[in-house]
Amino acid sequence: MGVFLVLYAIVGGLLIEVPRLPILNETIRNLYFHVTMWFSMIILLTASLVHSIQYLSSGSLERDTRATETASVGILLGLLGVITGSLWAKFTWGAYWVNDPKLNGAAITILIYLAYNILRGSLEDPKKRARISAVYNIFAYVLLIVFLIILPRVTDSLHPGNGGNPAFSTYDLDNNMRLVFYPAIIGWSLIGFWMVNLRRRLFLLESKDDD
Amino acid sequence: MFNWDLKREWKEKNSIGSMLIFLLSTLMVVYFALGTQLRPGIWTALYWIVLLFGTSGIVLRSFASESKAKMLGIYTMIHPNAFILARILFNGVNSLILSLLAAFFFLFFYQLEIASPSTFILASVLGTLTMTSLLTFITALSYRAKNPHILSVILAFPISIPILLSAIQLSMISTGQVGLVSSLNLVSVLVALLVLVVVLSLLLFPYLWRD
Repeated sequence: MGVFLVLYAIVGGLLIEVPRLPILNETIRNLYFHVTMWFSMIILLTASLVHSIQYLSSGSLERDTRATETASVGILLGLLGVITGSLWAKFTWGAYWVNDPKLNGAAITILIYLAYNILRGSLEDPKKRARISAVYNIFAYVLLIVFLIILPRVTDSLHPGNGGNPAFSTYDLDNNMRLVFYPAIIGWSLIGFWMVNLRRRLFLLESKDDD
Repeated sequence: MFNWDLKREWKEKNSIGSMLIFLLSTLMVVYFALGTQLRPGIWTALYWIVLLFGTSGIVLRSFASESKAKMLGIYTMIHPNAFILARILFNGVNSLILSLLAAFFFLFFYQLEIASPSTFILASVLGTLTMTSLLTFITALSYRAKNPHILSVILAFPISIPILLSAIQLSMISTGQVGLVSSLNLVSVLVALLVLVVVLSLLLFPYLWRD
């Protein structure tokens, strides 16, 4: 089973490698990485939310493990998204970090899930930890989404697509980009879920060792 | 439950005194450091800093004054939703008193042209109420873990940003600054956040209750 999963991951990883091959110096290509990473992060965090809700209704600790691992892989993707975005910003805006609502939103997303991890760290009883962190996960996720929706409307953004900057929709006619863009989102999400699975299995093995 | 909280508060009259001392000492520091003239931006910043720390103090105190045995008694007597609702109401009333006092003293010591008093009042009331309900829920959550005082701040800070942001923008508008969005939008955002926080608390609190 493990071998099968690893094989699947190698194949999956290679499949996702394909859209990434044409890396040139045109910064629009960052769309394939930066933007898709953020999409996948949201997808993973949403999956984490679903697991948390399922945990609260079923009470099985496996759901809890899934929720945590999904959240941490989601945040890893978020961090990668920040790094790629920051490199892109250096070339387009001239600085690694600017005061932009989307950047602030990113920083807060990462802070929320760091807080989630701190919360888990401070609870010892696994059942209690699972329940309380699931509650926080749901609460924080809902407020985060609201925040990500209202923030760009309350302040102006430098991001493409905001404040009259050229954006994705300008390139809508270019179907080739879409052909790469959507598979890239799916690809990153699949890699994410594969990592979640690995981490979950590792966690299971470790807890077996403890017994 | 609300009555019971109220009675307890009545017995400890020092709480309103501690609120006053906190307010006055903050004002003293501001007065010594910045003199008698304040720009509206700095005024608003200080006002919201006072409200933020004041409300978190109020909320923490409302939970700290409970002994384990007393809590056990309450657990068996009332419904969890009644408990959290009463807590939110009680802390909300307290915070409103604090914001009233803060506004009074700030305006007493520093002349500030408030172009639209109704907007200012709306910003203060909605901002403090939403902040308090969020803090109440997060503190109730962190009281299930070790060192709840530190934890509640860590957990509440990142998710309270949208509330603070809209409340501050709204009060900036009330002092005659031009904002990017209309005050009506901000008010509806704050109302929506308040409703969301209360509804989420009611939905999720029963899960924290079970022990």
